[in-house]
Amino acid sequence: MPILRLLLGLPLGLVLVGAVAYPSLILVWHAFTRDGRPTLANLAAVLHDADIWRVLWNSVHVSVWATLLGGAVGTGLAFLVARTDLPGQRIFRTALMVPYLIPPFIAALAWLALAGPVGFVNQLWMAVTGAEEPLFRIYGARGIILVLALAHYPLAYFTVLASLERMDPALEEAARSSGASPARTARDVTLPLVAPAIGAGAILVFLRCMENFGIPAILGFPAKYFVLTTKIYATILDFDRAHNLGLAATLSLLLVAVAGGVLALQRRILGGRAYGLTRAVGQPPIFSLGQWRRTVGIAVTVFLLATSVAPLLAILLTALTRAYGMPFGWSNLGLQNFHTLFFKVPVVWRAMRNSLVLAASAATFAVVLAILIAYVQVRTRVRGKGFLEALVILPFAVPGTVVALAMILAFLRPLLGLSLYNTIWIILVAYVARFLTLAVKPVAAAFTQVHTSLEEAARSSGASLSRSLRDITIPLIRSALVSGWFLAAVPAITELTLSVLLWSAGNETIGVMVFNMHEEGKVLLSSALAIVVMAVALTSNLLLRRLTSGLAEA
Amino acid sequence: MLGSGLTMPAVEVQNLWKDFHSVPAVCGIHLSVQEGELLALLGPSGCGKTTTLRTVAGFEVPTAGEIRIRGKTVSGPGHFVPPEARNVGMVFQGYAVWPHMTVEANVAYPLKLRGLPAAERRERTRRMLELVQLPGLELRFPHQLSGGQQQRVALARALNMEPAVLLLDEPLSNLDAQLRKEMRLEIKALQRRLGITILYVTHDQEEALTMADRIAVMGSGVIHQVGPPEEVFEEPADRFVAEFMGCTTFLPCEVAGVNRVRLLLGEEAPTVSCPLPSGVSGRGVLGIRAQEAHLIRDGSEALTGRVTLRTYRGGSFEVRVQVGKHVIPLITTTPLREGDTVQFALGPVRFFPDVSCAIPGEVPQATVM
Repeated sequence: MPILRLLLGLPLGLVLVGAVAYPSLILVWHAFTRDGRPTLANLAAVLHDADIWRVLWNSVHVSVWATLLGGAVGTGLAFLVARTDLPGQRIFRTALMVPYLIPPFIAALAWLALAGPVGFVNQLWMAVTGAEEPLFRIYGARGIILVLALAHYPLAYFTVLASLERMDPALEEAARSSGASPARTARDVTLPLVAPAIGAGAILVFLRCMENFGIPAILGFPAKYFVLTTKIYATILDFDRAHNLGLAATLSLLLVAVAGGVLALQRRILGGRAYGLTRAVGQPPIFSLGQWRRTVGIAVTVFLLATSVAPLLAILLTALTRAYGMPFGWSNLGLQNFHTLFFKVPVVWRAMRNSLVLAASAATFAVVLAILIAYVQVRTRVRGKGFLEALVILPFAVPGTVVALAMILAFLRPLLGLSLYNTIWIILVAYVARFLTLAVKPVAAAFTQVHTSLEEAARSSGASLSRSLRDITIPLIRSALVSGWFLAAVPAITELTLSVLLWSAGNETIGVMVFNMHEEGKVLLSSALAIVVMAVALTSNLLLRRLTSGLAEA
Repeated sequence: MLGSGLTMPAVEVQNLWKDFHSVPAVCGIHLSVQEGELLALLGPSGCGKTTTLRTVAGFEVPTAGEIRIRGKTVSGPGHFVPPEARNVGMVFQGYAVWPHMTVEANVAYPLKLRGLPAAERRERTRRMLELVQLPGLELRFPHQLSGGQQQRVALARALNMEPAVLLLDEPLSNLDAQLRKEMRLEIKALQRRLGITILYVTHDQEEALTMADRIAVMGSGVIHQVGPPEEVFEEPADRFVAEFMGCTTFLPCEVAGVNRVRLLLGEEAPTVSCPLPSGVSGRGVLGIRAQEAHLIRDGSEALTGRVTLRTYRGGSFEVRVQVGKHVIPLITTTPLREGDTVQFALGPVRFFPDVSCAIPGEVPQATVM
């Protein structure tokens, strides 16, 4: 028994302390020290810097507007899909998944190809009207708001849709029987009941916008428009500035504080207001769009074409363009960029291999740890389980930029003789910490479903604890392990925020490759690689969905 | 009894058909509920009783047929009145009490929609809450109430609108056994006191028997029998109704004369008396209830068998008696032992001809049986 405890405890403790607790403490330590001595100098420097206040304001500004926009769009679409006779429901349900599956920084590049200074829309506008100014300026706050909103509205959509579909139709039918018209029922019953979900969806959108790095980096840097995440990134790379890491650490705590504050606010407002809407039986009442049915259907189609299809088409066309700046035409299209990418730039293959190996190893580590964590969480009664859970969630709950900085600070100097900085290992540690919670969720759920008596029956048949785990429990939760593996691996493949700060020569990820090519102005190559990343993201997500839906049926 | 035929029925359902994706759920039923009557629609799950109720409420559009409430057509060919304009109160199985509103707001909602002044709303709601025995709980939220209390709120809300008919969809099935019994009596008392019309859907025969003025037994989309509880219980129209009314055992038999049938139990072939419709002949089954079969010393209609199993059921025993190849259950206070040979009578028995799952002449051709 003690050996088993040690076997369980040692790797768990090592990872959670080494990859989560220690980096977190180091981050806080660096924010409040200079040259090893406690001081509030970093805080003072940050708070006295008008530039920082502007950056903070920018962060809140773009996030709030993107939340309002994305929240409204997502909520509206959820209502249309779940409660009206909108034509083409099934197609819309699938189509609305697409923006969710595309990594945000790829979405930013796609929008650049569509509506950037030399994007298709502005080119067309200038060619048709002869104007010298572009129609739309995508660099800066407005472009960031637009792309953030369009990349994140599915979160609001899914949250509200789930709530609408879980709602007992009888609640709405009771209102109809009481004499309420469909519109009145929507106002008096449906809307108030999904209000908590609308709020939760909006908060989710806000937090994701706050912590996003790719979109404000790609659309903000050219306009010198910074938000907290990009400012932290720039500060870390600003090697000439004294105490740059301490300042970045302080900024990180500021970012976490804002996000945490919003979360706390949500708890205050919505606390206890989440209605236990029971399982839905039967068909919910449908609000007839009447004569507007066609118009609304066309409007939703146009919206999806303009916001999902057009940018992707634009970046695809850019990737297929032979020579940049030449007039658009069939003669200027070809697979040349992909050829260059795969046969002339050896780094691309290396980056792809790195990303795949990193994602696979991180997912494997995460699943092994998830088994231990889930076992402790579900099966044991040790004290400090809440603390364990907090450590698992923390690296996913805080912005990725903050996690990356904590990793840098923790492993900048060799630790216990191990030098991780400037190696691929630091990225691996960061990925394991970041995506661990994604693997733990399904595994813990599976553990809860496998009743203890199954293990106990094995024990009374003469199996040791580890033997009963191996023979009974693991086979029963195998499908959860597989889906946990994919849940952790899929976001890791196309990851940018962590690796953009942790990469070193030879240890690039594919996300970093796209980002760097874009920064170097290699528009055609970065577009082509972005198409590759998108293909990888869509395929792996498709695979994941296949897997998890098969699981739900089982 | 109540259906004098002189007054207009509160609800009239005529030749109602309802298909779901061309699978029939209700197959041309006729039903009428008289003013002030409690009619129980009784049947197993999936028999179409809830669908029938929901077409009356206006939540389902019938495939064919007509529904009238107080003489006004609410569903008919080319005509459909939405639920909010039908003035039917509905109490749902899961209560459907709005969790974001107080008890008072829930119960007063129908009155609010009718534009009643606030003071009157409050007064009527207060009285209604007293009526359902929830006085003083106006400002509570549903999550602060027990399941039984939520049920009363749902009832008060539906009653507050003074509906033409109150529709109850398995309202007691989520309550525990004790509370269920209390609520039965309470709903019955309310109905008598207020003189309201109730269409009550249930799968619980005991509930239907204790509460209903009339019972309509439904199975596979058709109504098998309509009548007062005593009638449906004593004289089930067919084997389906008999099974639903507690006939657990069916013995093969054949008609052996006027009001006499011969049981076909292997070597044994005793003859027993049994009310038979005139002109019936051939083979059939005899429906038996365990609580009606009883031990007798001797007699011309006595059956003889051997006790194979005895279980105690508190105050009495249920024994299984083997007669030939058949096992007949009976309930007795005599402490028989397994292996005993006993003589017993079947009590009142009902004969059903071989093809006997429907009332002749009332079932359309295309039913799903």
